[in-house]
Amino acid sequence: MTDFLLYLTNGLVMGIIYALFALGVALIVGIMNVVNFAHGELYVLAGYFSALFASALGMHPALAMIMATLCVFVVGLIVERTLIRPTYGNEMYSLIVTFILSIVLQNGYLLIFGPYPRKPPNLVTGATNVFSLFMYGNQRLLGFALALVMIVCFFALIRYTWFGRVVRSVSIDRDMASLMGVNPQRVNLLAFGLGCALAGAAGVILTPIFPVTPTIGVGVSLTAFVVVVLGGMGSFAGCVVGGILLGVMENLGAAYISSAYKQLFGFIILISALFLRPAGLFGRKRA
Amino acid sequence: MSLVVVDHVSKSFGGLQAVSDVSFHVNEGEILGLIGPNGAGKTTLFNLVAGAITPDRGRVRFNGLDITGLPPYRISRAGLARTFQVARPFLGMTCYENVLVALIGRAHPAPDSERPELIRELLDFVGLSGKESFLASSLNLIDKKRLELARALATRPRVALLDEALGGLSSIEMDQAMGLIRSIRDKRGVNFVWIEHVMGAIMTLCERLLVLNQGMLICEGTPADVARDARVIEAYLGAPDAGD
Repeated sequence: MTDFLLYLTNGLVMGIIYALFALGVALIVGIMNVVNFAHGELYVLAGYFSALFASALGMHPALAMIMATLCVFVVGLIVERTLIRPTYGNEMYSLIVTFILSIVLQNGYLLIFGPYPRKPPNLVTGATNVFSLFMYGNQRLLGFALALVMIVCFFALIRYTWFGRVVRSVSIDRDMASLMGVNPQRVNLLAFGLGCALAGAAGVILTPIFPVTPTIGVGVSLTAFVVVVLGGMGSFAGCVVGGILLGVMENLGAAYISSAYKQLFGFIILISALFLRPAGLFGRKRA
Repeated sequence: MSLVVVDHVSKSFGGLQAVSDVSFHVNEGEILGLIGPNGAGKTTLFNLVAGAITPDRGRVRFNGLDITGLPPYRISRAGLARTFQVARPFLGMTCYENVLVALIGRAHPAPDSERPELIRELLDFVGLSGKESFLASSLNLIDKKRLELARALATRPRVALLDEALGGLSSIEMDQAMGLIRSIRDKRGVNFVWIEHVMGAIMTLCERLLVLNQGMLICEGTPADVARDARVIEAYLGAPDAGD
């Protein structure tokens, strides 16, 4: 029983972080209809930035995390402005462009940082006795809390701020929003930057636990796509439920069946969910 | 001074000449009617003025500014609003949020503190009092049209293009809508260009009518003149037989 709770906790911690970076993909898909294949590479970039800022520049690890996320936000803005904007109106081009970007970034990381795993120092050390049942790493508990706070902030931003309302209006009816005076290109730019920043936030949270290497971004992107499709394209609530579901199933499957098939469990859930609900768990039919 | 000047505008889609060499202007304080049989190019003409599509030839000037080919959000910020034949509010958002987006989109967004008051006032004005927190998807047809009007007003337009504001309404609702259009003109100084198929309504409200047929402007004048015009009667009813 204690084991089961431990696996479940692991699943929840991973799931909420999956949800965090998948929200970035869902935001960009919902606003721009662009599937960003370089999402995982931006996660990795944030990991490298946080490691660099903390070790090379001697920043406090918490400050390094914030700075790294902001840097990825800015990188997202630059990518949107230079690479995505020329592809407006043709999703196939943006798909190819972001795919190329992911390969370029992977090789760039390899060239600059080498193949070795990098991580910033832990923010906290030690472990806590959870429910007086098992010891659980403080860094993971902190990661869980941070990711949860980020997700709550994201939902509040989308639901209650003027920015969120404008973003929603554009995702519902882009032409109508522009007739209301909303500049759709500006919304695209900010949404893309914010989506990348969510990948970055997940990156700085997880890197102290799972150090980054040049190619782990591929797994991050794939996981994000699975979560987004599972939850329903463009549904934010679906991302959270899908992320947690995937995290829990992966960890229980790895513990009780075989850890060699960890990736497989995600796809089994995905395929069976799509079999029952083709539009995803929270998906709405698209015109 | 003319607020809107449309100058020899043409647009074709493939081989179809949707709008050909149309010129007209909108005067200050006017409700200008735009009529014509189905497929005459009325909605295309609106799209050309509001920036949804760019004309092949000709210019559109608004308030002294050349707006030909400007993106729709710039035209909206200049003070030109439009509504659609089928109302298109943001369905997943509340009435309050629908109007809020338009307040934010303005060239000079309404200050944060004034927004709730402005939104309440606009919703009251169009007859949606107390429905601020209703989802747009839960509204009936006339309320959706009201919301679209409130949202268009929130952009603070000088001119509004109305595409069949009365379509699908009952006769009581039509009277309400016409009263609303008149009071928007009188109290808020908004001028209208109004596409409508309900002839009785357009004859009462408009001082001047334009008649479009097969993309061409075939007649312009007071409702009485237009109703007597031989070309207009022919466009709507067909040419009299030679034998008659």
